[in-house]
Amino acid sequence: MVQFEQDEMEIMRKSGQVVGKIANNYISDLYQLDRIRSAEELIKQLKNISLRAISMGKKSDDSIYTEPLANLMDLVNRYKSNFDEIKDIVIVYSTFYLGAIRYSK
Amino acid sequence: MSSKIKIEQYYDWWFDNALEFLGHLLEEVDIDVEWNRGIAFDSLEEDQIAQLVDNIEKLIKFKLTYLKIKKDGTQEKANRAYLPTMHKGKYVNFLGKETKTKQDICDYLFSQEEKTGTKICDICSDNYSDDYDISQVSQTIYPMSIGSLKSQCGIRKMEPEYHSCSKCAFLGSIEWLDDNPFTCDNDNLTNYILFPKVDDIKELHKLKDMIRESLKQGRNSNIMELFTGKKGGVYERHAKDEYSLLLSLFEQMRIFEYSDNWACLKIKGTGATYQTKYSYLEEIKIPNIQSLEKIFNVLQKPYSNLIEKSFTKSLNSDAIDNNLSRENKYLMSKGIVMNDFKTFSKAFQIRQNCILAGIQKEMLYPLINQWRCKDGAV
Repeated sequence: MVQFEQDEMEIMRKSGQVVGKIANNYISDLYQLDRIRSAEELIKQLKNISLRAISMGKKSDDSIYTEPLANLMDLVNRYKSNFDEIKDIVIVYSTFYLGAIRYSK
Repeated sequence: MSSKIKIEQYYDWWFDNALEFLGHLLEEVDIDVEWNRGIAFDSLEEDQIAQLVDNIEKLIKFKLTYLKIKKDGTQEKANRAYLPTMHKGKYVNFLGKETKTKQDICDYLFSQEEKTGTKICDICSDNYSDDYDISQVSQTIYPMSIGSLKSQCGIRKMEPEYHSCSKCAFLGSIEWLDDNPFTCDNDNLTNYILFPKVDDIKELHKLKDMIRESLKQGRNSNIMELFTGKKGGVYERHAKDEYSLLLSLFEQMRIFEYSDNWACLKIKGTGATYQTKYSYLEEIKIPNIQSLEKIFNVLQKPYSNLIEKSFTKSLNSDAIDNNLSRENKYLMSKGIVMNDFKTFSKAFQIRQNCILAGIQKEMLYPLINQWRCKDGAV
């Protein structure tokens, strides 16, 4: 099990926040992220989510900051053989944020 | 000076725990017990045997039953469900014998008298004679034994029945009265009982004495929290699976250094009759006890404050899905105990259009940082 640096953990947490926010409108993006089977697929899906974030920002007043996703792509490239572990951490944070958006009063 | 009675250790999870329990019962009647690869003690006086049997009979009432509160508010004694200690409403083997017979069996076992007989015990290989009619091995004596129905025991020509000496039958039967952490999940009709696996019986005794001190006796579990409901009634809050039970146990007692190896006995019952359907054993070998200890140092109560409070909701209807809630709690507890982040993260996957909710940021962040960050910093 890979132990990540503090700043790497922060990138994954912030990415989870972005993914969770997008999943609130496009839940299939989170499903797709969960289904990826390689580092390349993960990067491709992160690109898709980034594009979605930009289009969502244009449609509404609330813009979504996509820098964490760009940093996350760098991180996936750095830990290509352990992409699965990164995915798991991002999924945990994403679901947590999605739950927080949906059920917080 | 008469020599001591010595019962050797079996090096088996069930019988070693039973032997430790016998040592504990003997200590309760003021008998000095030596713990060394088994137990050794002086032969018992008549009054000590009477006291021992009396204690066992009290425990049968206390441990195998619970106070059931009916819908109309009246109370009645009910049997703990799904345990293989009863047949057709009566206790079996040693547990079901009359007080006098119990005393005779103990008198025979705990005397200097040479144990002879023509039959050989299938468990300990000692010679014995079946004077007390308790020799047939059923799940009461050893929960992993096969049943007595020949048609259900595999190859029909195989000998489906095993027989044991009075000592093994006695030990196996009284182990049901032992103080092992248990929980019962009524929704899937399963009892989970944890047994510490420690080779050195002296160490085992030390650990179990610590566990004994903090156990409560409830209807569905002996590791539980009591809370008062909105209408004023007192309810139990307890774990519903083996890994959650282990986490709850660690929350109550920081016993990490004593054992990282546990046996979990799962007894599946049937709904209508509360009889045992089948039982199976699972070993829980905690791979990284230091990591688990660090998580407890940071979160204090990871089960009560994080896992227990979670629930799973449908994204469409907002209804709570109890089955998925239970499964997710199991996955989170298993992930933490087995140091397996993959399993833990499965609880966060959106399945059947349901999402895990009720997780607190103040608990989740430190947990993930402690688990996955190099410094473990928050």
